[in-house]
Amino acid sequence: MHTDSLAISAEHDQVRPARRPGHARAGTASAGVVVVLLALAGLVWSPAALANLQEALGLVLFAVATNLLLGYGGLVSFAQAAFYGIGAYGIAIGWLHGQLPLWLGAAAGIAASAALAVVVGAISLRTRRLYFALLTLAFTQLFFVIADNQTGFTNGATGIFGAMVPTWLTEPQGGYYFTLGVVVVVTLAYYLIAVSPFGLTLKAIRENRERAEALGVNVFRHQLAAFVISAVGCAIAGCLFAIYSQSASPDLLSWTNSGEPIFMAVLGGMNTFLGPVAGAFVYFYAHLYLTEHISDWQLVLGLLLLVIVLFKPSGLAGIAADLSRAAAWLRGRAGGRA
Amino acid sequence: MHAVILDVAGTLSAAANLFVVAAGLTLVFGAMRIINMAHGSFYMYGAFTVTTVLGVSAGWRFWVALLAGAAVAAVAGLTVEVTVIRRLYDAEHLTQLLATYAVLLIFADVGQRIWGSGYRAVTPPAVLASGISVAGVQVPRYELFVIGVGVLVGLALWVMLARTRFGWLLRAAVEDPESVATGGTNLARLRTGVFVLGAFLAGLGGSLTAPLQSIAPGMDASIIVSVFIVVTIGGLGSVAGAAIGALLIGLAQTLGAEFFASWAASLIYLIMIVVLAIRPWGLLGVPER
Amino acid sequence: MSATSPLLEARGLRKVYGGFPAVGGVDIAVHPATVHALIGPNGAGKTTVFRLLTGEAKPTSGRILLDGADIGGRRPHVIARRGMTQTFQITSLFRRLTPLESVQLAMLAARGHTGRPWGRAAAADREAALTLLDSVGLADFAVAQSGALSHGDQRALEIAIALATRPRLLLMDEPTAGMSPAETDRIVQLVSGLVRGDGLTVVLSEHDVDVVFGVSDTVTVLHQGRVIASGDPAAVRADSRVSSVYLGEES
Repeated sequence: MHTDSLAISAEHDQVRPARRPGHARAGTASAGVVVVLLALAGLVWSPAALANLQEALGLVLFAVATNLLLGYGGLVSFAQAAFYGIGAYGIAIGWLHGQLPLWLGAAAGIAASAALAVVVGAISLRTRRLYFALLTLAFTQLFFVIADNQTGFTNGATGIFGAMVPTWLTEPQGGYYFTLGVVVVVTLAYYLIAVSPFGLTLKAIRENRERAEALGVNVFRHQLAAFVISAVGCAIAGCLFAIYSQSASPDLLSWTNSGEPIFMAVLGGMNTFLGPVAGAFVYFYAHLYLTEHISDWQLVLGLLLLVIVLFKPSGLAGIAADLSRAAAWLRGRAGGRA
Repeated sequence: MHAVILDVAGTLSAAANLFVVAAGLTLVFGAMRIINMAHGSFYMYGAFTVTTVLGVSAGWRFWVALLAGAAVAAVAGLTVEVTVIRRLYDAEHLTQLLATYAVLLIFADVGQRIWGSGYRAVTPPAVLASGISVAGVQVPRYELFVIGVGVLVGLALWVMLARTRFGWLLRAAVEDPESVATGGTNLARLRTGVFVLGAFLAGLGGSLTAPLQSIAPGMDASIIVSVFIVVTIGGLGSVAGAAIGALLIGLAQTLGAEFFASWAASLIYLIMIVVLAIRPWGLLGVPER
Repeated sequence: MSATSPLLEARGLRKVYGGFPAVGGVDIAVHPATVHALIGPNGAGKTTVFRLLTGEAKPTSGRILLDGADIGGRRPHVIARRGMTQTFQITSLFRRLTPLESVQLAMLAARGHTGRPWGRAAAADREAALTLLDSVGLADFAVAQSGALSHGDQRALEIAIALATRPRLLLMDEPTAGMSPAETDRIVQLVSGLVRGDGLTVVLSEHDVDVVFGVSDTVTVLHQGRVIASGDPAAVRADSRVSSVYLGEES
């Protein structure tokens, strides 16, 4: 019967350890290496390349925050674009109407996202599964319409553009290192949450809601908390976008924008913490390359998504796990074990 | 009075159109528990096919175009069911959402290859182009035509569900999926049949709407949201619910523009939120097991 | 066995579903550190009695007392907090968590610490959880995927999860359903050990006659929503009403 996340039952036909002993350490080590490499890239890469990387990092955070709800919580929501957009608009509107300093506008955007997440979550989480997803879709469209129509407040469909960011952040290295710092810190916070008792409880609710309830877990409260925590990360990612692009526009809040971090998480592997990170990088650069060289970008993306969803739902992380299992088996053979 | 009659006609024709498309989606979900994000793609293909068959001038070819649009959509539906939907019957909702969204992307791309990325327009056939006098007000005949088709479709579906074997099987599948599972080939054919019917209805809705709006890429994504709202308000799986939902949304869209000005577009979302807050399964929906 | 007061009591328990009395006046007394079996043909009301005891259903009338306190009509997780948990007839596990994680979660839930976003879940009650898994024979599979375990191991995990909260009383709904003789034996040994060794009290509903008469201290027989016999196994087995109604139907 249904569980609330992508089934990967085909890969668990035999009893085997859920995680091999060295896995956790390998994961942390590779994450550390990646961060160091990213830090070094800031010193040597061209401004154009750094700008791309800066944009990609924002998407990494967007994907990680979304995955707390999607992968760990098992909840398919369309609302992440709304929180992302509100984060960006916080900075933009703060600049446009109040000449607020950057951090204040960002704080306002993040706070607004969190507050709205409480409302949206409290209403939506009373429904289940598909109705939940569609309700979050309705809320997101509502916010989109507000952004699109309320020209007095949000400048309407044209969006807000301007020098809303201090100059040091518009310089290639300034902007890059700031973004890198924020993304690393916030991602780390999400990691700590994911491996905490709260994270375990989320996974348990995902696996078997009724059993968790029978054990005394208040499912609604836990899911609402996850919804809000996810929203905060999405809002921060939106702020990073505003910093990068010095703009905010209504299409940030469209429901199709909510699909992107979901796709990144699924591509990378939504059942692992680092999967969405890899997925975001791969998606961003693939998109960049393909839109420059192929006009049928949508076709490629659609086919790729279809193949992954139907044939390899565990994504890149699943492929990586397969490869490491194959490598271990080969090593075993080479060592002469029967 | 003048305005009211025009409003009513406009509301009813918008509602009728939405109903036709939504009925397709809700039937598919009710019988097969499949949520199809590409439903709007069938709608779009119906509309674009009409533009191809007609060129820009209408005439007797309009009726052919109408059916051609629905037929093209049905064929597209058949293709999708055989290649993709078959694999999704026991999958979780996320898998279905993602896979059918992928289909949406593919269809969008192919559609742009075939019809380009600009917008198109067609006019109604001469016989439906003028107005008809209703209580002294000139009501566009085409709107009355759409209403008529909507009512016909509603009746046809009602008859099908109540009187035909296919309809019985469909209702059985909605109420108790396990009971139909013993059928073997019957089940596979039922599923294909329902999905193709759903696609046909979406395409018909698209064909119907062709003379009423500009036809352009992106109409697949924009219609799917309205249809989702209609279907969710009415309750997934209920055709009667789809009718109620379509009426509500039609009302909201026309009245909203009159009375709520810049907030008009948000009205339909507010309605959906309120309805689901009170009845989490929609007005006529059935709680999921 | 001493004449202590019962740990769990049902007095005059009734449940009517739309005019139909599924349970029509049932008295049960379960004494501490005993195994109390509930048997009866299908439709006798065993499942309903269970659902009333666990809080899934509210009694139409009558009382349910746990250690003297009225728990009739309370929600399942409240009853769990008071020391009575259950295992489910259809294995209800966290399929993609490991047995270790499942037990740790149950322990966290018992202490109300599930909401903590700090600390490492992997370290929470790790020793206690491993010890518990060892006692049900799952030490070797502590970090496997729960969903990939054999049926017998999954049932053992069911019990471990229920025991994680250190209940005083465990309700087991058809614990050996669908099991091979070897697996049945393992569960029986496990339950015996927990009762004799740790003083756990167990109420189980069962179809397997050998299990019932082999491991129980008290047997209560239900028929059409009422108790027709209750007492020690030998006496119940010899009761003519019981044989005609129930045991005579079994091969």
